[in-house]
Amino acid sequence: MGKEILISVKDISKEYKMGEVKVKALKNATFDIFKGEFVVILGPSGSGKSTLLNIIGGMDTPTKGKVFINNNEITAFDEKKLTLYRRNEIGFVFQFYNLMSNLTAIENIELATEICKDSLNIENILKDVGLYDRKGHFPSQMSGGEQQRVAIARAVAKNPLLLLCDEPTGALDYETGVSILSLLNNINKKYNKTVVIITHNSAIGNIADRVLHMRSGEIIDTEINENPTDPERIEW
Amino acid sequence: MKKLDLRLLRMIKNTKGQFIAITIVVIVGLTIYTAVSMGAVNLDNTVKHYYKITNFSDLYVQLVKIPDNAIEEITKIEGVKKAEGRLVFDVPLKTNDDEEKVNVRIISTKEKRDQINSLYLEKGNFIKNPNNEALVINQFASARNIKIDEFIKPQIMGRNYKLKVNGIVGSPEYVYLMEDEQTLLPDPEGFGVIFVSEEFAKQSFGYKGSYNEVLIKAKKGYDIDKLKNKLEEELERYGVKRIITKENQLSNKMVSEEVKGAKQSSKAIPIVFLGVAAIIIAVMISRMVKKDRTTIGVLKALGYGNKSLINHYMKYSLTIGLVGSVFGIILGSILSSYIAKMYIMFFNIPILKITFYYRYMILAVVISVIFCIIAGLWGTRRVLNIMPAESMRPEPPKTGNRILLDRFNVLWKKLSFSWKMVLRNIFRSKKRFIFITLGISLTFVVIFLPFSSQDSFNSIFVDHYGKFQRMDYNINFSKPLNNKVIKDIKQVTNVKDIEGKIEYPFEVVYGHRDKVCNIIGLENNTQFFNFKNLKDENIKLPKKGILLSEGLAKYIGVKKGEKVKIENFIPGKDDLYVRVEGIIKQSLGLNGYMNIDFMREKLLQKNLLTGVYLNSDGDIKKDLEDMKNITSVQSLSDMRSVFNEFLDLMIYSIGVMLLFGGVLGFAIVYNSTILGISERRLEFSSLRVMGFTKKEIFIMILKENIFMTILGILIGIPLGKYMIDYIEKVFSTEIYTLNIESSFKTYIVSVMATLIFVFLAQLATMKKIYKLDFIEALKNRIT
Repeated sequence: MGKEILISVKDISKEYKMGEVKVKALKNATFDIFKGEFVVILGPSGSGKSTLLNIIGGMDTPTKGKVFINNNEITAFDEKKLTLYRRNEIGFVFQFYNLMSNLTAIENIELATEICKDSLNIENILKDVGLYDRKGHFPSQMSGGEQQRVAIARAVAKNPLLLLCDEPTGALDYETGVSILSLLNNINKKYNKTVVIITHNSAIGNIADRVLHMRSGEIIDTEINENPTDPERIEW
Repeated sequence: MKKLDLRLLRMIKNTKGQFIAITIVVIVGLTIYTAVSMGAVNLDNTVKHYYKITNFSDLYVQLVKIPDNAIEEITKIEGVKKAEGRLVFDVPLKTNDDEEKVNVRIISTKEKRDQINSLYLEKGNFIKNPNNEALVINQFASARNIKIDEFIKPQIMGRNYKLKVNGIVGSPEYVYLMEDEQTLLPDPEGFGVIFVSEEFAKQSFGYKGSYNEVLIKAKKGYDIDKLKNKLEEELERYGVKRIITKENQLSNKMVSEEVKGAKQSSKAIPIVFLGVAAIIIAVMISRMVKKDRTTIGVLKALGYGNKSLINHYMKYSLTIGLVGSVFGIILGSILSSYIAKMYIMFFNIPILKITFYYRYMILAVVISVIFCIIAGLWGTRRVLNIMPAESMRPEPPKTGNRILLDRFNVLWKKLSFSWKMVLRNIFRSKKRFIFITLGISLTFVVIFLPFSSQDSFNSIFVDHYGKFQRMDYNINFSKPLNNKVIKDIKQVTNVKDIEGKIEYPFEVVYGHRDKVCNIIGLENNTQFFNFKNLKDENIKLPKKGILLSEGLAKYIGVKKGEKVKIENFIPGKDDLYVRVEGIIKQSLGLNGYMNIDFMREKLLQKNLLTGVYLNSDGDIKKDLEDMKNITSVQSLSDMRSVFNEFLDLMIYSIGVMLLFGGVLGFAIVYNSTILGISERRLEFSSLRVMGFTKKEIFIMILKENIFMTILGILIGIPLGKYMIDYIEKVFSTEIYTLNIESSFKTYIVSVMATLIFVFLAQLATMKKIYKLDFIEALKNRIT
């Protein structure tokens, strides 16, 4: 394939302690993600998908193995470099939105953009996510779907190499969830951003270019969709 | 504005109650710092300036008689720059009220501009007619409402004189107007200083061509103590009674002690307040960081580094420091001029200058910033450990432990469920428990100390005039009289008990240390004194040997059983080596006590008396009014009224301290309760869902705080006692020995005040609990 490799994950493992229990979250995961690709990582809870996402996003470090982004080995980065990496190259979307409660929608976005090198026009992004007229609202004045749109806008506005979404629809109802997925799909197409979504909802896999199946910390299967489904037409 | 700063600003707005409470603690600390430091420095500099322009004397040589021409010879002694003779006598002053006994010190003045201890003319003129004019010291004049051109009537050597007041003056010698070291407090109505011409003094006292005191200015840099020893030798033939150095001069000593004390408290008090503020800030920020764990994770995920996040929380702390110091400096500067005015009232300085010292303002900012930075760094240290990925995961539940109390099964079973819950909550977060409890202890101590110091003045007074000295009247003669005078007194007035006494100044020497003080000769088995040794056992006045007051023994460093030298200034009498038979408790003044016959034999002459002690129901003052040779009649009731006036003054400072204590207690309890509530939102919400009412939750928190308050007070009581012991040691001067016994009332009042402040803080937090939206708290995870 003539596609350019963006992310190269090589044989990574991760162990961590949760309270008094030792958890083996990842076992020898190896895969690549290409530029502009829309990838869904699918697996039940506890399968290690969040850990994988966190490591790719420079929020966590593996116990073993290497991760390359654009041929830079981020697993060799120190804390400072990782911070810069997160600042300039990564956009995160979380399940629980994680907006700052005492900042308005637009301020939440500016919080992210004012520290990164070349951000996109915030007003345009707000229009793209359909919240231009609500930009002055505080999170507590918005619905979950609206908050998640703000979170997506916050991630996109940084103009990152990579958009990482951790169960972005997990806290939302079906219809809102679908609209969020369309939004992510549009952003993938419009801005040619690489998007990685992790979810336990197998229906979402249909909209991806590629689906990685995970179980117990291992990638057990890779599935390529030649014709991804339009997010509006998936059901769960 | 940076969005992170905007978040901070809104955070401050949302927690404004806490912000204000801590800031006030900082403000109080810095206000005290600026006001007292500036006040002390202003006083110090003013006094020094005053001494300079009035040519303040380095040495006061009191002697029996020295001829005019000998003064010139003193100047030739090495180290002496200048010497001046003068006459000083204490005499009674006649007033319109026959009941009243007023003493004045008459001092002769040459009124040359460069005179040692020159006078500062405040009103009127210097003396023009030397024979019938006088100058009156300002505090005495204003206390007795003496005006220019009025007449004053001193009684000199039994004769009545009438002098016109030509001017009101200040003197560097009487900045603090006290008769002698035995007096507890200044009494400007009962004792004053009058300056008269040298001619008049010489004539009226019969001192033609001679003086009884010499003022000496030493050459710059010359060792004053060395000069003192030299003068003692050189002037022995003129009957040197005592030589007082500038350092030991009563007024100067009181002023320097005031300056020293003010400087000390300007350092100690703010540190307590800033320390408390710093602890609250540190705790608060560390709780914030804990609460914001996910937020910090998200911010890190967005690419914010540790440094900018620490800065973010540090700014909270710094804002408190800066806002606090700005207000503290402003209030402190305003207050410092009030302190200066208070000093004018208290001390007799006609030229008080108030300067605002930028040094202290800058220092105030620096100190508070340092405290806040340390507090902030401590509070934010956990930011470093927050891994963004980990922070998104729920925290592992805290391990639930049985608390110590559980193990006392019998006791534990008797507790009601709600109390069990309260106790578990308290012991679950031990740091908060320790912080609140100690905070309340500190509040109690801050309230307890001023009340106790009031007690201590009370006890100095009661111990000295009542328990130690038991006479109704203490009468002093203007010169030593024969024994027979007792008979005369018995004739003119109705006397229950009477004993003669000798009270005479000597220098007591032990090793290299010496002190001039009055040695008092008393009759065997005297009934007017109750001597107790340091173990609080009654002891008797020995037939031979000497008893020393605790302060004196400490000052010269002598122990029981050792010998001291008593230097006799009286011509023809030898120095006496005498054994210290005991060291006695005496809360006020420094004295030695000897058997009167032993004292006469060894130091003076037979049958002499310098005064009497007596008990009487009669009107002694009136009866003795016409008796010659009586300079002063001191009665217990006079002392009592002076003391009560002083207590009135103290009420203000107690009020201020009470307020400070209240601020501390309020800030501690309010802040930690609010922090506790926001931390335990989920817990309270769960309780609400289970059907607890808001009131029940409030009562639960109230119970927790009551428990900690009581414990805090219980710790505060011994802590306060310990502090008092410390204060006793530090603040006991040679002149008075503090022996603080806090009264039961003081304990009760302090406990009540602490409870009230805690309760007020609790009341202020009630709103937060009532506003708690439990559904929101359970449902949402907005950070």
